[in-house]
Amino acid sequence: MINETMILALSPLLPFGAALLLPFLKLEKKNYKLMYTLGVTFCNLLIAFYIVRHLQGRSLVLFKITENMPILLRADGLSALYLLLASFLWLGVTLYSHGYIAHDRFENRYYAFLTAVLGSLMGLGLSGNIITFYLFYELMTFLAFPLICHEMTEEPVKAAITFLIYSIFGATLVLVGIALLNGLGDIALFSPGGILEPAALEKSTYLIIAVMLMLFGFGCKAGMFPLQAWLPIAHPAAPAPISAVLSALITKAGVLGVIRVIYYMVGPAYLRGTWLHSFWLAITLLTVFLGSMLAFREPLLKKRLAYSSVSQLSYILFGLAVLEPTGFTGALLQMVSHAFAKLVLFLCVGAIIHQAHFHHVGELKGIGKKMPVVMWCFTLSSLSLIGIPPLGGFLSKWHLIAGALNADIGIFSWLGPVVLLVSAFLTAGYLLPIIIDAFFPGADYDYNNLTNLDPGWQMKGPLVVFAAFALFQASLPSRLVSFIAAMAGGLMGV
Amino acid sequence: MTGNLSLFLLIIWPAAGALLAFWLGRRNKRRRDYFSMLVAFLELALALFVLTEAGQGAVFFRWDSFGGFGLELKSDGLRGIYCVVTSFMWLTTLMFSREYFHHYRNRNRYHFFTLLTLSFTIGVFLSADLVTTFLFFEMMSFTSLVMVINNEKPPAIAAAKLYIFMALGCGLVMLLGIQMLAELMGTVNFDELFTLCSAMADKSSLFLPALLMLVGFGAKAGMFPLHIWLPEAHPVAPAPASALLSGVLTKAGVLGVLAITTNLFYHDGGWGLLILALGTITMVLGAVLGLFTMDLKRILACSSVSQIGFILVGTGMQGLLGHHNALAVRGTFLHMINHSLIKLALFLVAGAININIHELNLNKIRGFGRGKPILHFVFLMGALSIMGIPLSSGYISKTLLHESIVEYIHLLEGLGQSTLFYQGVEWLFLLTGGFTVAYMLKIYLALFWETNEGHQEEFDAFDHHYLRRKSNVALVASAAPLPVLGLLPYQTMNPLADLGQSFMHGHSPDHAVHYFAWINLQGAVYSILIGLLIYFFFVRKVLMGRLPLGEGAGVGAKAGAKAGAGGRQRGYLNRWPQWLDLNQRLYQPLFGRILPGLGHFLAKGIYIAAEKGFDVMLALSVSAGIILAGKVHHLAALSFGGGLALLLTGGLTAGRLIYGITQKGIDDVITQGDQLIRRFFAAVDRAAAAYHEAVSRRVDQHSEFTFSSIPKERKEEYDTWRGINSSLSYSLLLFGIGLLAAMIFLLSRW
Repeated sequence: MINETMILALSPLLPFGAALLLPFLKLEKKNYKLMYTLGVTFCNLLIAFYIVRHLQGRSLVLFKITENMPILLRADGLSALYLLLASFLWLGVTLYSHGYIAHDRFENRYYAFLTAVLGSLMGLGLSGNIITFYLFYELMTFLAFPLICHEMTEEPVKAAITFLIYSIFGATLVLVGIALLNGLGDIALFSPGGILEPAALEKSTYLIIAVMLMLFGFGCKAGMFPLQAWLPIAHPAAPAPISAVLSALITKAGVLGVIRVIYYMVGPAYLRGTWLHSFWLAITLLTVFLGSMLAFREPLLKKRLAYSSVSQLSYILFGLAVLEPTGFTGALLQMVSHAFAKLVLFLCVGAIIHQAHFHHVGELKGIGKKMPVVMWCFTLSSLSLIGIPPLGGFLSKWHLIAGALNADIGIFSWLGPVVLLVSAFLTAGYLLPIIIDAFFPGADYDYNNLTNLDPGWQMKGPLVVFAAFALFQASLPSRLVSFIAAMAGGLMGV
Repeated sequence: MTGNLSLFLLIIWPAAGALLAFWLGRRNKRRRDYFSMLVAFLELALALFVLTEAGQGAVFFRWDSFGGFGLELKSDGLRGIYCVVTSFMWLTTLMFSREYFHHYRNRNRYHFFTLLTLSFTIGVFLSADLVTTFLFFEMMSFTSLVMVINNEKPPAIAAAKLYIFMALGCGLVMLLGIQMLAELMGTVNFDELFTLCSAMADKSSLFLPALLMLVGFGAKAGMFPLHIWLPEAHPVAPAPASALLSGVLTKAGVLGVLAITTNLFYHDGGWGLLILALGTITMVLGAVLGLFTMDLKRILACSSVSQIGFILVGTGMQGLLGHHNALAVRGTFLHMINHSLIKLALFLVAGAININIHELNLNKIRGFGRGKPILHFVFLMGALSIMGIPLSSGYISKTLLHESIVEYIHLLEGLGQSTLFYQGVEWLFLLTGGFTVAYMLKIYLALFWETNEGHQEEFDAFDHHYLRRKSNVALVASAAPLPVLGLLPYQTMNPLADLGQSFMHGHSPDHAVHYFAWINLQGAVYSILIGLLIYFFFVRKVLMGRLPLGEGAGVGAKAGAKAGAGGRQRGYLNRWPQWLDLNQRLYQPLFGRILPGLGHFLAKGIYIAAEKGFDVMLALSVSAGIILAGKVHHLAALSFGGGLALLLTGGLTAGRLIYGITQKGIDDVITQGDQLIRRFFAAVDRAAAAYHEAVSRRVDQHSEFTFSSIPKERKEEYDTWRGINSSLSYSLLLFGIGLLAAMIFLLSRW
C-alpha cells in the first residue's frame, strides 16, 4: 500500500541506498562521482522540503519490535528545522569535499560513508520515539567512525577510537536511562510537554536518575562537561569537511537528543526547580567557560575551533536548561547560527590547510592577503560567532540572555548572562587576533611575493554561500524566530 | 518599513557608497577619491534636508522585521545637527585624505571602511532605541578599527587591539545593561523609557542597568577610568581618521550617556552626581596628561579626554539642577559641537605637518609653522576656541557650563546647604581651563614662534607649497565655522542650542544669557590667568630642560643660545612618572596576564581532570574485564597500588602549588602550575597506559595467538587495526550490554 507518508521513509533510505550502491557503480571519472553524490544530496534536500511543507505532523510506522514499541518516523517542527539544516549544509559539504579529498586512496569509502551519515541524520531528525532515535543515533556514531579515521594514520585512528568510546559510553547511559524511564509513561511516542503519568512523579528519585543519565548521555555528544574531551581530539584529526559536520551537525544530534528527552519525554514542568535543574545549569555554564578559556590559549587552529565548539554548544544547552520559551528560542537560534558559523570556520581552516599547509595560529600572518575570499568568510562567521549585530549569533545570544533574565532560576539568572558575555569576550579573544594578523600583517610585510591561494570553486562556493547566510540572517530571522517561538510556546504551554 | 525614508537613506547611502568606492578604486584611484567626496557631500546635503524637517518636529523611521529585533530611527534637532556635523567632518577629512594618503598602501581599504564608519556613526546618532544603538555602535567599533590600524606599524597594531577589545568588552557589558533594562521596563525605546521612567518614584532598580550601559558608552567617550585606549589609539591613526575618531566617534559615546541621563534619570540628582564626579576626574586627568605629553597628536587626544570631561560635567549638572538646567543643557550640547569642530581643525593641522616631515614630536616639529599663514590661522582658530578665549566659540559653551555650576551653588546657598564640594568642582573647572590654555600655548608657541635650529631653513623652504590647493581648501573649511560661531553667538549658537535641547527634554532659559557681561567673562579671565601662570612657571621651568644627548635634532632659539657645555640643548622633556600609567601598571597586567592566566589555569585543571578521569575509569574497567576473564588475581593488588600512587601524586602536586603561592608571585605559580598539571597528568596517562599494557601482556601470555609473528614493516598497520578492532569490540560489547539491559526492561514491563 503506497501513500504519501512513505516519503518520510525515503528521506533516510535514499542516502543509505545511494551509499550502498556507490562502491558497485564504478564511477571512475571524478565528475561522475561529483554528480552522483551531489545529485543524491540535492534530491534529499528536495525531499526534506516536501516533508516540511506537506507532511507536518504525519507519521509512519516502519515496523514494530514488540506490540507496543514501533520504529516510527514523524515530522514535527523540530525535525523540520534539523532536516532542512542538515540537508542544506550537506550539499555544501559534499561539494567542498570534492575539492578537498581529490584523488585520495579511500575516496569511494569517504563518499559512501558521507552519504550514509546524511541518511542517519535524516532518520534522527524524523524519529518519532526514543527507541527509533537511539537506533539512528548509534548508526550515526558507527557511520561517522570511518570518516574521522579517514587518513588512517596514527592520530586520526586514535581520535576515531576516542570518539567511538565516548559516544558509545554516552549512548549506554542513554539506554540505561530509557530502560529506567520505561513504565513511567508511554515511551512509544514523543509528545510535546512530556509523557510522564502523574503516578510516575511519586517515584521521583528513580525518575531523576533516569533523566540525569539521559542528559549526560546525550550531553556527551554535545560536548557537555565532563564527557567533552572527545571533541578537541576528534576534530583536529578528521579531514576538514568532517570536522565541520562533526561540529555543525553531529554534535547537534546530541542537542536534539537532549531536547527530545527534556521537552518531549520528561517535560520541563517536572524538571523545573529540582536539584538536577540547577546542576544542569551549572554544568552548562562551566562548559561554556572551560571551552572558551581553553580555546583562548590553543595554538593549533582546528583544536582552537573544537574548544570553541565545546563552549558554543553549551550555549545551546544552557538555553535549553533555562526551561523558558525565550531561552528555548535562543537555543534553537544558536543551533542554527552556530551550525552555519562553525561550518564555515572549519571549512575556511580546511582551505588554509589544503592550500597553504598552515596548521598553527602563529603562521597566519598576512593570509588574508593571499586568500582574501576565504578570510572574509572566516571574518563574517567569526563575528557571527562572537555575536556582533546584526549577524546571526547576536540574535541567539540576545534571546539566551533575555531568557535567563526572565526565568525563575535564582542565581543563574544573572550568573548565566555574565558567563555568556565573558565567553563572548573570550570568543573575540581567540578569533579576532587571527583576523587582525591575517589582514594587517604589518608595515614591513612583503607584498611583492603575493600569490593568490584561494581554492577552486568547489571549495569557495559553499564558503561564500554559507558565510553570506550570516549576513542575510539580518533580514531572515523574523520568520525563523516566530517559527521557533511558536514551537517553544507549544512545548511550554504559553 | 514605515516612516520617513530619508532617515534610512542617510544610513544606507554611505554604506552603498563604500561598496561602490571600493569597486571604483580597483579601477581608478583618482575617481575613487572624488567619488567618496561626492558620497560625503550628498550625505551632507541629505543631512541638511533631514535637519530642516526635524527642526519642525521629530521624524521617525521603523523597520520592524530587521534582524529579528527591529530597527527604529528618529531625528530631532540634536540628532539632525549631529548628522550635519558628522557628514561635514567626513567631507573635509576626505578632501584632505587625498593628499595625506598619497604614498600609503591599502587606500582602498581605508576609503571603504571610512565610508562604512560614516554610515554606522550616523546610525548611532539616529537610533531611537537602545538595540538599534547597540547594533550600530558595535559595527562602528569594528569598522573604525581599520581606521586606527591603518599604517600597520607595531604601535598601531597594539593600539588597535587595545581599542577593539576595550570597545568589545565594554560593549558586552552594555549589552547586559540593555537586556536588564529591557527585562525591567519591557521596552528599549528612548521615548517610551522616558515616559515610563519619569513616572517611577523609586529609580534605584534602574541604577545597575544604567551603570552597565554607562560602561559601554563611557568607554567609547573616553570617560575615566575607561579612557586608557583613547590616548593610544587616536594618535596612531592617520590624521584625518584621528579627527573623526576624536571629533565624532567619541560623541557617539557621549550621546549615549546623554540619552541615559535624560531619559532614564531625568532630573535625578544621584545619577547626576555620579556623572559629575566621573566627568570632573576625566576633565582634570585629560588636561594633566595633555600638559605632560610631547607628541602633538597625543596632546590633542589627551585634550579630547579632557574636553569630554567638560561635556560630562555639563551632563551631570543637568541631573543635579533639575528644572533649572537650561544652561547646563545648552552648554553641554554646544560644547559637543565645538569640540567636534575644534578637533577637526587641530588634527588636520597635525596632518599637514605629518605630510611634510613625518614627525609629530614637539622637539622635532617646532618652528614648522613659521611663515605659513593659512596653517597659523587654522590652528589659532582651533586653539583659541578650545582655550575658551572670549569671542571664540569655545568661550560660549564653557561659560554656559561654568554658569550652570555657579547656578547650582546659588541654588544650594538658597537652600542653606553646604556648597563646598561644588565650589571645589567650580575651581577644578577653572583650573582645567588653565591647563587647557597652558598645553595649547605650549603647542602654539612651539609650532609658530620658536625656531628649530637644526631644520628651520628646511621648514622655511616649504614656503606656501607644503600643501596642495585642495588640501588647503579642506583645512580652511575645517576652521571656517569656528570664528563665525564665536563672533556671532546670538545669531548662530543660540538657535543651535534651541534646536538641540529637545533631545535632552530641555527648555530655553528664563532670561537671555549675556555672554559678554563681566560676570560671565570672569571665569574665562581666571582660566587664562591660571593658564599663563602654569605655562611660564611650570611648562617652561619644569617640563623644558636640557635634552639628553642625541635628541637635540631641533632646538628652540632662546634655549639654544643658553645651551650649556657638550651641546646639550633645551627642549621638551617627558616628565610623566611611569608608575602613574594606569594602562601599563594595572589594566595590561590584570586583563592581559593575571586574569587569563588564572582562568586558563583553572579551566585546564578542571578540564584535564575530567578527561583523564574518564580515561582512567575506562582503563580500569577494561582491565577489570580482562582480569575477570583471565583470572589474574594479583593484578587487583596492582590496581589498588596504582590508585594509591595517583592519590599521593595529586596530594603532592597540590602541596607544592600552595607552597609555591606563598613563596613566589602569582605569575610564576601559574606557569609552574600549568607545567605541573601537564606533568602530573602525563604521568597519570603513562601509568594508566603501562598498567593497561601490563594487563594485556599478562593476558596475551595466556592466549594462544601472539602478534610476534607479524613482519616488522607491517607491525604499525596491524597495531592500527588491532586498536580499531579492540575498541570496536569494546563498544559493541557495551552496546550489547546496554541493549540487553534495555530489552529485559522493556519486555519485563509488557
